Amino acid sequence: MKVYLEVGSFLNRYTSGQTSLEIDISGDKTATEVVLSAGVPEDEIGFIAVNGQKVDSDYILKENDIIRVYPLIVGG
Amino acid sequence: MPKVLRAVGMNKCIGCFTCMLACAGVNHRNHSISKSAIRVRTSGGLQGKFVSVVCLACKDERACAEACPSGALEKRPGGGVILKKERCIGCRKCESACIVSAVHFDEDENKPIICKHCGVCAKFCPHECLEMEETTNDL
Amino acid sequence: MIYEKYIRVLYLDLTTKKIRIENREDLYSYLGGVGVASKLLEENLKPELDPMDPQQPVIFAIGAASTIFPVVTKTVAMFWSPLTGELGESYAGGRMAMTLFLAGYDAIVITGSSDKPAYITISRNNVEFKDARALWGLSCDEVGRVVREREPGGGKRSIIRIGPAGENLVSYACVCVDTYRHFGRLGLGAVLGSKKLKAISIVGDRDLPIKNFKEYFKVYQELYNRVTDTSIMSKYHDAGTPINIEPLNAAGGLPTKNLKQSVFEHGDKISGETFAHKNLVRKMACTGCPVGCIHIGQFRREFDKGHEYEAVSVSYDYELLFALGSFLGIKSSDEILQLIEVVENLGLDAMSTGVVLGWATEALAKNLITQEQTLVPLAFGNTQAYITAIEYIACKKNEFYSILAQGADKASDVYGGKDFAMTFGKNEMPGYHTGYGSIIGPTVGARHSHLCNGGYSIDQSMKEFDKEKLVEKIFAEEKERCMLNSLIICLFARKVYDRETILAALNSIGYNLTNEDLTAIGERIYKTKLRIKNMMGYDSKNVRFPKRLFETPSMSGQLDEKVAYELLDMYNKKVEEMMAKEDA
Repeated sequence: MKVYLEVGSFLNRYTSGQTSLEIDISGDKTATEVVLSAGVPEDEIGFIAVNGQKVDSDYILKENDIIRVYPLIVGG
Repeated sequence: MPKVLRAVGMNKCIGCFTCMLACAGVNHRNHSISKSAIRVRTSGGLQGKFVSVVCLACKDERACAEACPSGALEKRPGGGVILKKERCIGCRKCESACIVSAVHFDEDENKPIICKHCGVCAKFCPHECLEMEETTNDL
Repeated sequence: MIYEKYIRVLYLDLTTKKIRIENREDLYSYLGGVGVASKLLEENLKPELDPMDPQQPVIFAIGAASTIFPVVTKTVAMFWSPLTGELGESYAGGRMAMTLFLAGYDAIVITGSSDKPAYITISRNNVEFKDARALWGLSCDEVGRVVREREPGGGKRSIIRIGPAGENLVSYACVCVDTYRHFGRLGLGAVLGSKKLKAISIVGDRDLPIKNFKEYFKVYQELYNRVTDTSIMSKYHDAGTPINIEPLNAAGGLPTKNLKQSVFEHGDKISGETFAHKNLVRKMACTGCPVGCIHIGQFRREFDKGHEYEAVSVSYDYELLFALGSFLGIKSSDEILQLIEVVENLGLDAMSTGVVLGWATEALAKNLITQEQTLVPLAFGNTQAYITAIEYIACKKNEFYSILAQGADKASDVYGGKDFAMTFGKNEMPGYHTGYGSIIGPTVGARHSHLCNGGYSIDQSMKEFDKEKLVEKIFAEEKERCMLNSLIICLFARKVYDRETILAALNSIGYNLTNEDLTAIGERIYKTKLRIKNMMGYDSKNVRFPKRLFETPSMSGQLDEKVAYELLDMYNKKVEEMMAKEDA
């Protein structure tokens, strides 16, 4: 089934510059797994939202879910 | 082929002064940017862009070498000069001869500081503002 | 002093216009930076006198490794804060650390006050007190230009100065450093203003041979490579900290409209990406830092009819986009840059100014104050009104603005609305509403900043909330940063400068330290700071949290007031235990 991954302008360095990806998955996959398989390193993930809502790392994806991954908050 | 330093990307300069710290460190074993052969400064307050003041590797006619009364500045293949310290008397005529003010003076050692195009500053620039360009040997 | 076993201190007396230099061997074990500065503050403080008495000292200090390693760029200022009434501690980058280092001083102690406005020039072989009467009243920008043209030393000089807000003793007046950097918080600008000290110009160019070149340069190169090659620092350079707007907004942690909300409906219009696309024109660095995190944004301002435009450039960072952006409901990047410019030239702390105006906006809406007092119709999103209000704060236009100039805590004492005066320990809040960490952190932090212990980022990294762990982490980080701030590493590079790296760097320039030494130094410095806070009358038991923190949900959900006070209690106990121990 298809899911969509959106990545911002900082994290897209890990997805070859693409900010919108269409991904085919089969079976039960978590949002985190998809984000990692797209190339985003685990320690760069701030949090993940699906369809606009923040989700836990074990959230199982459904058809046409739109995943958005955000970087960590940086500061002093 | 000999190489010379070219400050081709000063529009990208962020003013970090790492080039100066590296030059002073490697070439003078000193922590002070006043020993650096390359100088970076603003063109007038931090709202203006950064400019570099460094030897432009003159070929054929080298005003600084011409001005030196004791032959301490030898022509460098590819452009510029090499300082022979033992012959230098510290008269500072080379400093005033350089039209782009790229000859600095070390008042502690009483010798001029002139870029020898070694490339250390270019290696340490985080923004690729400085490059080593290949050039023909004019000697 | 590098390669020596003492700290070289320059004492400046503005009353007598005399100087004195001392080589303090007894301060050597404090490394430098905040370590040395807090000892000097403790020694020179007059707790029996008023906080703004001319005899009170202002201390500036550089670190043990300033300038000669990448991203070790800061100078610390310590003083008695007119805003909180207790410990003032503020950091600035720019060129000051390099110039002080190459002028030959590790620390400066300024006491007294000048009868007429003055500025000070410092070089490696001279210190002078100069006439600044004609400069009094000039903006930070103008003063910089005049001093730059008047004094020699371009390219190896740092100029710090106050604006009209500092002259008028606004409690959150800042000190501008080399145009785009600041000693921003806690009112150092007002302290210098009370001493009639308009500016300090430092030229640094002394001869300083490297002692152990091979070892030193090896460490330098390794550090340089780590800082520039890896992605650790690239976030700070790319779009910079402004990239925080998007994740904080999406996760519900962006303080908006005086924290009535934690999500800003116009967040995308003021995001880091928006700024990068519309306004970013340049990046700059502090001297000695190859990262270049200073982002300069430009906007066009029409200043008169007939297509009269000017280009205005200001530096912007995350905290300003929150304080002068989402916190005030400002909907465009241009407008935020406009507010930054006003704040910059008057010499005010951007964060405190924004948060204070947030309180005033809500207080006006709730009729605790009237428009007769505010003079302009303060309302979320009304940039023009805010611009005028900021000017009124800087000149203390009327009684209301005189009170507002003393901070949100004071203003709410007088007019009410304490529950939505967003301060921690009387210092206006930073831009994070992420959880208990972002509340406890600045509350217990020695200088009431999120930078004291990074509480907000502990909220992010803790998978599950654990009271003991949170308190433990905050306590440990607070002490660790005391040590980092004695070097003085820019905190953006704290991941690069782990213990191993710090030891390699320090030992290559002649220190003989172990990991245990670093821990002991951190704790020693923290205890000194707490003693000073005590001397100044601070009591951690008097702290109260503004109720708004528990009304608006945070990034970690709704927060419970009881839990917050419990955590505070737990932290205070840890501090008591530490203070009771003998010094290592």
